Amino acid sequence: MNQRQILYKKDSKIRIKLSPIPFVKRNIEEHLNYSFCLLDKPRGPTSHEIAAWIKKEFGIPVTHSGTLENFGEIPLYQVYY
Amino acid sequence: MILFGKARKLSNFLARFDKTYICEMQLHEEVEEEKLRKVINLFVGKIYQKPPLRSAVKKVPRIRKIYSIDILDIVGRNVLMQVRCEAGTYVRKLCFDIGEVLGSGAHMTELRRIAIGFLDENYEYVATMHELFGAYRLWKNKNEDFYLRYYLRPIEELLFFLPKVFVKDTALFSITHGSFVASPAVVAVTSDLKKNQNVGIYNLNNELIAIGKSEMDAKETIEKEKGIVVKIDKVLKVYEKEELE
Repeated sequence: MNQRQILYKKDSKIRIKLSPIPFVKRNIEEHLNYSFCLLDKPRGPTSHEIAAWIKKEFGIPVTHSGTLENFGEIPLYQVYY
Repeated sequence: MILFGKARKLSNFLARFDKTYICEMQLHEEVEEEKLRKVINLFVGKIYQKPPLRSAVKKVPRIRKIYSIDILDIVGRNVLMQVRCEAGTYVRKLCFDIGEVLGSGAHMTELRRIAIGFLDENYEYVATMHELFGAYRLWKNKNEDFYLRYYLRPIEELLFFLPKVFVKDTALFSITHGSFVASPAVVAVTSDLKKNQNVGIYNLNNELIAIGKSEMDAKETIEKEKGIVVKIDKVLKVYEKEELE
């Protein structure tokens, strides 16, 4: 997988712009909308509570993916979309 | 893991990834170490698991795969172990079941997820709550976005392992409005593309716009002129006509 190559179609004259890392440089507002964050969750508050705090602070809808145990498979995030 | 804005749409997709946990199990009676190791090894592989009473899913036994259980430490009755398992495995229940088989009874006292899919806690950009909020306020108040960009990573980085299909700008409108990715729209693919597999659809700037299931492999895709290459699952970025002109 590390050595995968980009295969172009034979007749294609278009080339992809592969910029160096970070490979996608968006403006910051747009970046906020297409990003994720690995959060070291403190003990105590639930992931859902934390998602709510961040949503309040950042002013954009967020969701958490990956909670523990009891919430294992509840699609809590479906509330948002 | 927190998903921001449009990246939310990936949450269902991420929920299906394998998970790795570190958990502490407390046995209710002293058990010989040899016996304990033997019993724990029984739980590696496919197991039946009945979801606990307080859970979100239907309470019928289901099969989940445990890839590995490594015992990290044993102190008295406390056992520290690392469990790598399929999505939807209840680790608390696993500990309880191990206790039942041992005959001593056991429960879980601590649990921490250390990895989801390909990302683990050694990932460079793990943030604490303080760091995340600090980074945001620094941007809001001082207009300094370095740290915000540092902790909030682009979703492309999350899904780097998916094969990529690059599509033409002219196809972006129809693809993000629900049509399949047909062969003429494709500019290029990565060589690891196989049939019937999750793939990422990228535009020519290497931005992820959608994810879907492939209908052709890499060789077929670059040779064929017709046919459906990818069926779209989730569209992340919806393009409007004005944007594309």
